Amino acid sequence: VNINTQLMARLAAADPAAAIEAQYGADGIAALKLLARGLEQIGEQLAFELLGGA
Amino acid sequence: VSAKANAGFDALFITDALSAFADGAGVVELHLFAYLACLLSIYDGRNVSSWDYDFVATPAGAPYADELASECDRLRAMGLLVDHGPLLRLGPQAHDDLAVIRQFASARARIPYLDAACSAATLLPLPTVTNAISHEPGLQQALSHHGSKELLNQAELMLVDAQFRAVSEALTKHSGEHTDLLVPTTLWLSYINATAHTAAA
Repeated sequence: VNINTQLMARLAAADPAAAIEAQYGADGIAALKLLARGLEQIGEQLAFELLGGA
Repeated sequence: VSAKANAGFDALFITDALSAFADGAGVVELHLFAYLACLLSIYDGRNVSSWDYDFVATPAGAPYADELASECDRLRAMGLLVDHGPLLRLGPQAHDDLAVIRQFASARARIPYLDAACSAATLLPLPTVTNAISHEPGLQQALSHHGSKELLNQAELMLVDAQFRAVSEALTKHSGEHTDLLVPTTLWLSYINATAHTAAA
């Protein structure tokens, strides 16, 4: 099985979820999940308003 | 607990999770995220048979589970899943039912995997998740077959396991032990996408 370990290491170093867990632990990941869901909803609402919605 | 009960819980959980940030869940997404959750349970050291229902690859290279499809139909007939255009949402009674079922031991054992799979869709664009799953080793092998093909046989599990070990080693080397499955999930999906892009270029 060919695994590109260099690529995997680069991605691990750049992974935002990994960085948040390393820095803030489980609480950080829980907050990240909430934030990501909130941002999705804000993005959708903004797009809706840009398209002329109320 | 029967495979049907687990498949029904998975359908309700995924619909609820995706509805929290999207308009609902497509039927194809139910199968996709259930399959991703099953793979994450394997990453976590569980046996594939403990997922309780099997997946096949459709000729288009997407995961599909008969149990999930039939439970989805039953839940729609009962009004626990309701159509919202092309998507599904939880029916009015389903929120209460899901809250009760979440407390069952069998459901609690599946929640970390389902949650990590669905949460990945909030950190990565949905097409990125879809694309990555279609390039995971099992589905890639299935694309070379004609007709539907059972997924996660021994050969495919070895390929997936090799990728999972590399994910775990890279994370351990970079940031020590990780506790939430969301971290290896996003890394694994990003890796598959990156290698798929490289192969296509």
